[in-house]
Amino acid sequence: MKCIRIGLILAAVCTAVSAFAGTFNVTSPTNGKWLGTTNTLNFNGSGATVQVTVVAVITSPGGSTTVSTNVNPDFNGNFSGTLPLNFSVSVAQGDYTIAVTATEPGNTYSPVNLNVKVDTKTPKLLQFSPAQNSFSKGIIPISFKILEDNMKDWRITVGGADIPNNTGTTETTLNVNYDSSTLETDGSQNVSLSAKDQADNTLAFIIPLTIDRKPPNSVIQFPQAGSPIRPRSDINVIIDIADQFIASIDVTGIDVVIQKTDGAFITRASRISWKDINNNMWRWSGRIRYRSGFPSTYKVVVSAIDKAGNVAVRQEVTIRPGA
Amino acid sequence: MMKRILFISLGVLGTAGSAIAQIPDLLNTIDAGSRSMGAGGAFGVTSSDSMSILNNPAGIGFLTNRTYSLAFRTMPRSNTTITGSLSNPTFVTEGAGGKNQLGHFGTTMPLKNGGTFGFSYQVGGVLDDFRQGTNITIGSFNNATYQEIIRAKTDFYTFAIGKANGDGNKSIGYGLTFANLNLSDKQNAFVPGNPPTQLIDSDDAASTWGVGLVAGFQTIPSSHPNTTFGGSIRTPIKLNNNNFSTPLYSTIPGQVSLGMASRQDNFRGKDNFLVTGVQGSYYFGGSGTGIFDRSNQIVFGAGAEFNLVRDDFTIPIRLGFSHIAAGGTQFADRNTLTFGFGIHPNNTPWSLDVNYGSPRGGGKDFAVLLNYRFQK
Repeated sequence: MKCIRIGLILAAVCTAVSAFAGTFNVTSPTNGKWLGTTNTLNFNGSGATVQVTVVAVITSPGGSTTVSTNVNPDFNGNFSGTLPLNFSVSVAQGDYTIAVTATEPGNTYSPVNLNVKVDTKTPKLLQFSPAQNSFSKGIIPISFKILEDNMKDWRITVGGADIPNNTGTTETTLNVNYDSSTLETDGSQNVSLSAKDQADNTLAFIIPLTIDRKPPNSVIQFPQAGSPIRPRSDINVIIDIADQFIASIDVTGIDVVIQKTDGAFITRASRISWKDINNNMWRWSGRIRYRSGFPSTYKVVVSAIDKAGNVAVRQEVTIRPGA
Repeated sequence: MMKRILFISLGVLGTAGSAIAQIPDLLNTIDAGSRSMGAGGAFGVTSSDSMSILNNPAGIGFLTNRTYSLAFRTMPRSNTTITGSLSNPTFVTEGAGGKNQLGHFGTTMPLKNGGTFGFSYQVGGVLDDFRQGTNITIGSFNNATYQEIIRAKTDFYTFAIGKANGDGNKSIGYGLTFANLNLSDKQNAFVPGNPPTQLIDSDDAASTWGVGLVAGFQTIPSSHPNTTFGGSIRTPIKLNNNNFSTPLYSTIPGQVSLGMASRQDNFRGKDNFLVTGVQGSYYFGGSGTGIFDRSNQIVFGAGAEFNLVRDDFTIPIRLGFSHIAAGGTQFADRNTLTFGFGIHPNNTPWSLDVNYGSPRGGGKDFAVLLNYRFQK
């Protein structure tokens, strides 16, 4: 009889215990996870009978914050929900602890403690090459230098397509060569960079550039052979340069020099104006100042190079003042 | 018949050139304003006056009095319209009357031991051309506007001695002449627009010198006592180096002239006489480029002077024609009909001559010459 009584008591105790101890889990983030600025804490549990209050206490080296929510169990006593885990960019970076507790009147749940790392800083682009809206040709070295301590991965594409060696993980100095010679036609291309840190903060950057493999064409409009140049006079020089793209020529790419007939350098013409005259054509106007010692016959030699480095055919005209 | 031939000849010679009708070292009608000017320049090397100091120093050998002469004349000027491409332009030039300037000053003085010394200033030639064109091709621009003022003037300062023989029928002369070339050029060329595209904008001038020799002879053959033959030479004159003028015009051409003048007495009246003359000159050895592309040329003049002689005065009346062949690629022929008259009072030291030339192609040449001859 005594044995029966003890057995009933143990059975009652076991029943009581099984009725008031539910289960509680945090499904994400997991322990050791990197968190960015916007995160969600997901949880679930079972064994609930009434509304469950879930509280997360986030503790950082600088203090703690608390977020909470109430969830109702379903017919089977299961419950689930989320808590926002948002961090401003200015919060302290580093190790955080998150203590998550679920409470229910007449019921108990085991708390969950998480150790996470917070990184709210997006990878910072320090420098890049080529320049945006630049003109390039041939093998184009693409480089990025990124400031990020917790680099996760990166990817570089051109025109939305992968190029050789265009991915990596923890490097912060990225160097990739892009061979533009395989393109069928010249034109605009976008070099895109996507770089993520461990918290999935993502740096996205685009370098628009123009592939230009066609050399410009320069024409010496004035003077020309037979132009009535008088001795000892200053000479205006007018050169038109045409290229296939808008703004693909820069004035610094035009060089007008005066040479003796044997090619010896005499002087350089000074520029007066540079203007877009129409339809991808520019006009360089300059002047050759007469100075004592000019030979009786000399050459005006024009060299032109576009922004992509394409060199125009050198133009020259022989001037014989007075003739 | 003669009239017809004359007009045909004038028509051929007067074919209008398509270039500047002036030469920097040679005046229209050849002459700076002497009586020879009214006779087409036919008496240049056969005359005996202060103009002979440069034209033929032998002429002053016959002057036995001290003389002064002063001539003012209209200098040539022209306006040229350019069409086509400036590297191979087409010129249409129209002459115009230029400035009235001193064309000659000369003095002669007999020397004690025989011969006559003379000094003269004489304008050798003037070029004053305003050229312009619109919608012409310069370089690659075919709608350019071009304007240019070219001026060149050659002055001769000459010292000479002439000496005639005792019979007074032969003379030789020689001298030294200093040539002064004043040259200026102002260019402006642009393509109209807003703003215009300036192609050429230059303005420069230079003055340079050179030295040459002149020499000549005059002779009156005993078989033709009314005829004078003359010849003279002027060496080419290399001008001092100047980095503006030298590339354009470095050497004034030399000149060889031969002429003949014949007098016919009692022509249409007692005491009246007629002088007819002809002269040819060859210019050689000049050099220049571009606008002064000076090449060899032949100049020809023919004319007559009828002298109406009265008791107190003589009135010479002249008529002539001069032809100046193109003196270079940018110079055109210059043909001029000339007229002139004078008043030479008897027994007075002065005389006055007025001469006029009518160059084909426009313009005018008008000259007044005042002579003063000291009586012995």
